[in-house]
Amino acid sequence: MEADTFDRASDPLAELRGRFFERSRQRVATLRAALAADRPSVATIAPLAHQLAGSAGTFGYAALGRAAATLEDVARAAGSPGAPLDVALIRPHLLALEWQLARADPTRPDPPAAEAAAAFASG
Amino acid sequence: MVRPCGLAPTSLAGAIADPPGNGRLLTRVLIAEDDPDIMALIALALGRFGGMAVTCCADGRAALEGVTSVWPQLVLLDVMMPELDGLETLARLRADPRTATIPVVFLTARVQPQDRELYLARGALGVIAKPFDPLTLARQLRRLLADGG
Repeated sequence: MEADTFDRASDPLAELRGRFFERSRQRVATLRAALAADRPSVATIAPLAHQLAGSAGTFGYAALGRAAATLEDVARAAGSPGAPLDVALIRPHLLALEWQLARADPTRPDPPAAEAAAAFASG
Repeated sequence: MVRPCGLAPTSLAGAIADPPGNGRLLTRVLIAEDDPDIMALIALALGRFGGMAVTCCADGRAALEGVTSVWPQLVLLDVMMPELDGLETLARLRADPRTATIPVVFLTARVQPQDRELYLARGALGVIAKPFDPLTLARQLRRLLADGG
């Protein structure tokens, strides 16, 4: 085992991280579908981005969380909850979010999630 | 839905370094959180590492039902939830004499200073921002209870 990689069998957070990644992929797919249908609204985009922003950082994926937070900010700045969003405005930020999700490694979270996993495993 | 969640307390290691006062006695917490991944992580953090009995609710409405069945020592509320959001849940807890004094802490993503002031003005004991450190969450709650309880 590499020094900075957890043994999944002894990492109690591994299963939770796996579920988090699965749900994150579903959320991004929902965002992508909203854009593809050319009918995104603040009410569609912002809550999903908000949830991703909160959970990604907590699971140790700060860059993914920041990308989601930026998407939420851009969506909320665009208008009231029911207002339609400009697809061209949202698309680059969704692409950035997709890229961060693709490059994130479920077995290698950043601290403090890594410290927490080690503590849970030993406690 | 209201259900016990997380693991049974297996270690009181988190309590050893806890502050003196009421916070040290915190063993029974109710959580309302609509993100199942965050919910599971909180349950693990408070249950396994914090030595607490944790009850999980998926939204504010379930939390109101759960409070009068498990009588938690502290309620941890997400702000943005379906059915009944955190602020409305807090208002209803405060409006009921039976639950008016139960300490409530908000757990929320991207909290702004003005949001924090609003939550405290409405009667919250404290506000913890997401992302949070699962390793220190139990200690943070005990500290808030010790300082404000």
